[in-house]
Parts: sequence; C-alpha cells; structure tokens
Amino acid sequence: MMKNKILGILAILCLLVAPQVLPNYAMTLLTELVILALFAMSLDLMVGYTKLVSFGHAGAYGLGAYACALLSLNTTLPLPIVILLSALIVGFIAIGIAWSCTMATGVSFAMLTLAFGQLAYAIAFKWVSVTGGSDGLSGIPKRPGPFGWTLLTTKPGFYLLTVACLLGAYFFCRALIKSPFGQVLRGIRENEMKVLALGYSTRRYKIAIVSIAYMFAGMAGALYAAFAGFAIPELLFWTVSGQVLIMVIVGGQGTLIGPMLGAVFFIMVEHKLSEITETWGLFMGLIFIAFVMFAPNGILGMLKKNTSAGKPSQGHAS
Amino acid sequence: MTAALECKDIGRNFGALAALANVNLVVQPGEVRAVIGPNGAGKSTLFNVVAGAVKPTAGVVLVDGQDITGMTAQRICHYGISRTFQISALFPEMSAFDNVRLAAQGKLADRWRPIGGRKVLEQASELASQAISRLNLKAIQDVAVGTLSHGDQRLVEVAMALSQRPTILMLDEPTQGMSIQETHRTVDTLKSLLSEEKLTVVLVEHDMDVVFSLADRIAVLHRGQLIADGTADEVKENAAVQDAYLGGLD
Repeated sequence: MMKNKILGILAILCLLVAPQVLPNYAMTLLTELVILALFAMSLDLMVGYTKLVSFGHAGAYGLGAYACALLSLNTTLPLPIVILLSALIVGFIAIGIAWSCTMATGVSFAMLTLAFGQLAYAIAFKWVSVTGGSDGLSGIPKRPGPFGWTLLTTKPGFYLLTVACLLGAYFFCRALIKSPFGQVLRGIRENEMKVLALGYSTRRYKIAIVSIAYMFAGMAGALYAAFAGFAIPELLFWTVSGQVLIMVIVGGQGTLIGPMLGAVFFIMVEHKLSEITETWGLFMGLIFIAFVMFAPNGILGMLKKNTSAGKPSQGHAS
Repeated sequence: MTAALECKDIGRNFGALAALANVNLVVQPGEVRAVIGPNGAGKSTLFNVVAGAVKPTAGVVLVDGQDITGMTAQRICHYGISRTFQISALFPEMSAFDNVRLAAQGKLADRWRPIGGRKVLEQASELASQAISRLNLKAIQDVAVGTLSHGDQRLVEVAMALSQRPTILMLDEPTQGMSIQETHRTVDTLKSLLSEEKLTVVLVEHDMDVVFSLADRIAVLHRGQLIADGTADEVKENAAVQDAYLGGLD
C-alpha cells in the first residue's frame, strides 16, 4: 500500500518536471500520451468496472474534439473553460445515448454504442456547414485566460493543463469507484440480476457511468483538438474505438492505472513498429492476441504478480 | 392483525400450462411458512410471483396490506421482501463482507451516492457485520465468495438477505445441493437465528427434514393447486398430500 503511494507520487513528480528536462519533440509525444491515457482511463470505467463494453468510445472523443473546435472558433472563451465545457456537453449528450444503449445488454449494448459512434462519424462527415466535412475544422486557437493567464497556451503550459486534467479525472474516478455508487457498479459487473433483486435500479447506474465515461473521453478529445489544432471525422471512426479498447485490455482493465499504461504501451509500440514496417498493425494484432491469451490482467497484472501477490479485495473502503 | 403476506387467487399460465391456479396463502407476522410439493408443483413459480421475478396472470399479492402485484423485483425489495435464489446468486470476485455490505446498502436511502458516501458505507458495514456474525460467518468474511464452499456461499446469501432487515425473508431451497453435514449446519444456524428473533420467513424446500425442523406451518402445492395448509402434523395426516407424494411418481 505504502509502496504504491510512493510510486504514485514519483510518477506525478516525473510528469511535472518533464517539461524542464525533455527536448521539444519528446514533449509533443508526451502530451499526446497524457491525452490518450485520459481517454483510455475513461473507457475503463465502463469496461473494467461495470463490464459495459463500448465499441463507440471514439464517438465521445470526437464529439469532445468538435465541441472544443466550435467553441474555440466561435467564442472568445479561454482554453480551460472550453475544455471543461466540451467535456460537460459530451457528458450531457451521452445521457441520451446511454439511455438508448442500456435498453440492451451484452453484445447488443456494444453494437448500439458502435452504431452511435458511427452515426456521429457520419454527421461529422456530412454536415459540412458546421463540421467542415471531410476537411474537418482547423486553425483552432488556444485562447488565453482566465484572469489573463497566458501560461496555459504555451507548449509546456498546455502540457501542464493536460496533466492537470488527467490527475483531476483520475482522483475523481478513484473516489467514484470507492463510493457506494462504485460498489453498485462492481455488483453490476459480477451479477446484474442480483443487484436488481437487492433493490437497485441498475439501469440508472449504468446510464450514469456511461455518461461520466463519455464526459472524460470528451475531455480527452477536446484536449486533443486544442493540442493538434484541428478536429477531423477520423477521430470519430470506429478503428479509434478499437484502439482505445485494446489499450484498456492490454494495460489491465478495472484498475484505472492499467489503461494509462496501456495507452503508453500502444503508442510506443506503434511508433517503434511503424519505423520498421508498414504492416505494423499486423504485429500489434499479434501482441494483442498474446495479451488476451497469456496475460488477461494486462501489463499492470503482470507487474503486480511480480512485485507482490495481488490481493483479491480492492476498494475495501471500510 | 394484517397478514405479513397474503396471496389471493394467484394464477400463472405458461402458454397452455397452468403453473398456478387459484392459490390462496396467508402468512402471519413472525411465522415460518414452508411451501412444499413434488417436482413441478409450482413452488418456485409461487415464490417468484411474490418476489417479483415472475408476474402472475391472475390474483393479487399483498405485503402488509399493500398491493405489490406485478411490481419489479427491484421495487418489491423496498416493500421489505428479501430473497435468496435457488442457485446461489452472488458476486464471486468480491469478499463475503463486500457481498453482504452491497446488500445492506441497497436498503439505505443514500445508496447511490457517488461522492460523500462514507457514511453510507459505514452504515452498510455495520449492518453487514451484524448479519455476518448472526450467521457465524466471521471467519470467512474476507474471502472472495467464488472460492467458498457451496454451503458457505448459501449462508452468505442468507446473510445478504438478512442484512436488509426484511419484513419477510424468502429462502428458495436454502439447503439445495448441500452435503448432509452442510445441511445440518445450515439448519442449526437458521434455527438459532429464528429462535433469537421473530422473523417472518417463507421457505421453499425439498428436504422434508429441513421443513419439519424449521417451519411453523406448511403449505402443500400439487400441480399448481394448493392441496393442504396447516401444521406439520396436519399435513402429514392429510390424505391428499400422501396421495400427491406417493402418487406423484407417475
């Protein structure tokens, strides 16, 4: 327990001093990694904690990106406010999506999330007057403020903003899964019928967690749009949903930390492999298969196994 | 006195099959009532109708005078009915304590709390501890229930139902699939529990020894009809019951 805390503090310190030490190109990569870590962690709330497999998480990511683009281009709101607003907008839209998707369970649920994701993709592609069609929206400014701050619009400053979003989201999610609400989610993961018989209306809990997960995915998408300076339909495409799902599973679902590691692993492997071969996707697929077959608890599961015997009861708040 | 549970003219058809027809049952507060009958008699259907897992096609179910007919299982739970399942329904990867705590939390008003819920968890833990010690499960409370013996799992399920402080505790074949020793232990545990506290219990059971040692009154179903209702001795003497059990081999 103590050891985990020290490791956590060390990791946070590393993230904070990185801009002082790392060269410029590495900071670009690191910023992207932090954003994807947030994206993967948001999906873990659904997949790992509630066993709600989503094939449409890119929809939330892309919606966040477009919300950020439209708000930045059409208003003079400062960047941090834009990011927060975009996340909230996506979370709000997600209530409707979740309400529809939770009418089904299991594979049908996953297919419905895929359908909504692809619907968002089609809208982004076709609604040219608002979304810019296949060109997307570009030239997204990072507006300074609030209180006249310009720090957050510089490159290291923006990096710190993404780290702040990741840490804020992580501590929020951690408190959430330890709360009474989180205990109900664990129950739904293991036996939804029983949770119903115990007097919980499970659908409301599912709608709430999907909405929260989409909100954080939207936050990640908004950060990405500000980071890259553009929002394009490809961000909403189902292959992105597949990639983030791989990050969660390879990293270790149901741990919050694992999916972040999974995101880092995925991007690093992608970078290294694509230097060597054009068919890197094939090797990524093989790696994924190997994880599912031989390390179902992911990277974090392997690390835990090597350091100590994993304890069965996590989140025992009493 | 209002009956704890009253079933009036309950009927349930599955297609052309009448699983239940005109079943009337009154359970008084503090009574332990067993429902028995040969295979396919409609015991489980009746149980599920009361607990909300199956909707009746005719009749009404009253709990403490309130009509709960056709409500979902989730709402019925809040009328004070807690049940166990014939095949253990648990959260296998969670500890026994966490299982019971989640059950207890289900009856608390702030059970949904995403933030500021420490108090809810403390309250639920308190209720869970009580239920666990009353069923002598303290020793195994930190073990993941998926790894427990079948007998212990069934008792954890009873503890979960008990932690909800139900007005009616419904046990669906609590000793089903147990070894003889496990059955003895379960019966002893339930007996001491019932002697310490006046609980209203509805019990569906196959094992006659269990029924006769726990129940105050016994209702006998046969082919969806209630054919007898009385004390153990009355039921044993009843000609229709003897006929149903002996003639039930066809």
